[in-house]
Amino acid sequence: MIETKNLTYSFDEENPFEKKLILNNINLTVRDGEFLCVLGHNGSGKSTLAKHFNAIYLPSGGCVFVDGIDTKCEEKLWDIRQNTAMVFQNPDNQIVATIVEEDVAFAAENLGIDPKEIQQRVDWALDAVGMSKFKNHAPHLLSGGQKQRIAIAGVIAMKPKTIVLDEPTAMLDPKGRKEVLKTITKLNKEYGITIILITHNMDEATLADRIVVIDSGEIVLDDIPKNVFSDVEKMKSLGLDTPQVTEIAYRLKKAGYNIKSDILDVEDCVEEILKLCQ
Amino acid sequence: MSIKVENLTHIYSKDTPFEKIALNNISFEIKDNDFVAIIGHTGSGKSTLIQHLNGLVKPDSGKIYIDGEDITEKGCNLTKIRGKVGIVFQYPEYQLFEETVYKDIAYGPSNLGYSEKEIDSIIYDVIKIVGLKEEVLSKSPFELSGGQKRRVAIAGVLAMNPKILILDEPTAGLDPKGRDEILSQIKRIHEDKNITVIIVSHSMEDVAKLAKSVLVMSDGSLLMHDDVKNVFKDDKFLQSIGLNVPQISLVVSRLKEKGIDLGDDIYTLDACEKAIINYLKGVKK
Repeated sequence: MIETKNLTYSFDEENPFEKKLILNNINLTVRDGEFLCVLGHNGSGKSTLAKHFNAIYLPSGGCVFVDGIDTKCEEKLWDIRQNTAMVFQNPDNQIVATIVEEDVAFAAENLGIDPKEIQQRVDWALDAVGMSKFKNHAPHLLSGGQKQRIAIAGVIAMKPKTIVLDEPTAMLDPKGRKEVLKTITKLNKEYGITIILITHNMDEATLADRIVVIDSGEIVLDDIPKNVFSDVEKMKSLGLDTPQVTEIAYRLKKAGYNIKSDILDVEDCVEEILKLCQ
Repeated sequence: MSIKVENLTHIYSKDTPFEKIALNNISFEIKDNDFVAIIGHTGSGKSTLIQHLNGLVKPDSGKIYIDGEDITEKGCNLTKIRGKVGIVFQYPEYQLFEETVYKDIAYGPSNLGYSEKEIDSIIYDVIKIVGLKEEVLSKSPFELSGGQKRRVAIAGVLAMNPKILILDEPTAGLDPKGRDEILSQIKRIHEDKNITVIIVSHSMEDVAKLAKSVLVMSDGSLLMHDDVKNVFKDDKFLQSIGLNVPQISLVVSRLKEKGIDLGDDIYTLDACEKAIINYLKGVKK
C-alpha cells in the first residue's frame, strides 16, 4: 500500500533558488492489488508525484509511506525501491546488458539474491511478460514494445508489490502499445501486482480500476473511469481527451437524446445508438 | 509542388546475410497542395520512404521526381532539393544544438546562403507561425519544455521556406493539448502557405482529422493510396495489417452491420454526430 499525506513538493530545475510549488497537498491512498491510472497534461506534476512513490524524490512537506515505511527513512531505501519499482518512457534508456536474460537479472543481482534463485526469477519474469523465446537475444534488436516488456521483466524479477509506469507506451506504435498494456493488465489481474500507470492516452486509462487526475499539482478528480470520462467538459477544461465514443454519447445527450453518458467502448456505444433508433 | 515516385525499391545491407527489402517497387504521385498521411506498422518502410524524398537515402532502383526534376539523377543539386523539401524527424527536439533558439533556427537558411538580414526577418516570421514568443529567441533551446523544443525544430525547417513539408510523427509523446496545438499549426501552415504536407502518424484520429489522402504501407509495399474516407471505410483490412482505426469508424461500421447505414464518408466526431442526429430525425418521422 502506498499512502501520501499532505504531500507538497517545490522545486525549480532552472533556478534552484526560486522555488515553484509542483505538488500541493496531495492525499492519496493506493490499495494493494489496485490498478490506478494517473492522468494530467504535461507539467501537471504527475511524473513528479510518481517519483515520490519510491523515494526518487522526497517530499518538501508532508509524508509518503510505502507499506508503512516513510520514504524519508534513508536506511530503508533499498526496501522501498524493491517494494515499488519503476518503468520509464524510453525503452532504450533502460537496457543495460547485451543479452536479454542478463538484462532482466540486473536489478535482482543488485539486491544480492542467490544466483539459483535469480535464474528462476528471470525465467518466471520472462514468461510473465511473454518474452521467454527471446531469452538469449540481443535487446537492441528487439522492437520498442518488446524492449519495454524486457524492462518490465527486469523490475518484476525483484518481486515488487507495486510497479509504477511513467508513460510506458508513449514512444511505441499501436502494436507495441497493445503488447505492453496486455502485460500490465496480466501482472495486475493474475499476479496481484499493484499498478500505477501514468499516461496521456485515454484509451489506456479506461483499463484502470480508478483514475486520479492531476492538474497544477493538485488532485482534481478521483473516481472510476466511467465517472471520470463522462464529465467530458471537465476533462476538456483540464486539457485532456475522452474516448471518441464517450464524446459522441455526450454530444447526443447535449442535443437532447436520452443516452447514457458513461460509455467507454465501441460495443456499448453501438448498443445505445441502436436503442435510440427503436 | 508535386512529388512523383516510380518503381522505388530500397534494400538495406544488400548482398549480406542481413539483406532486407525496405521498400518494394513503390509508385505514387502526390499533387501540389495535397495533405497526405502515411500510415503503417513499425518497420513498414514509412521513414525510409520519406528519407528518399529529399535525397537523404538513395534508391536501389526507381525514380523520384520533385516538381518534375529527377532527384535520383547524377548531378542533381540536392542542396536545392533539401531547401524545397523540408523534413521534421521524429523527436526533433533532440536535434537542437545551438546556443540560442535564434541561432538554431538560423542554421538551415544560412546554409542555403540567405543573407543575415533575410534570415532575421524569416526567423520572426516562422516563430509566429509555430506559436513561439519572441522572448525565447535569446534562450538556450535546452531550457525549453518538450512542446516548445518541438516548435523550435519545426521552425528551423520552415525557415528554409520549403514547398513540401514532411513530418515524421509530429505529435509522438505530446499531451492532448500540445498535440492539438501542433496539429492546428501544421494545418494553418498548409492552408496559409499553400505547402504540400506529408505526415507520418500512428494516430488514426489525427489522420482522420487532417489528411486529404492516405498512403497505407505494410512490409515495404504500398497497399493503398486513396482519399481518407475510402481508407477508413475498410476497418477490417486496416486492422489486419496491424493498424488501428478511429473509434468513430468502428461505430459506423458496426451500425452498418446492424442495418443502420449512416453513409460511407464518416470518420470524424463532427460528421458522426451530424449523421446520427439526421438518421434519428428520419426514424422519428
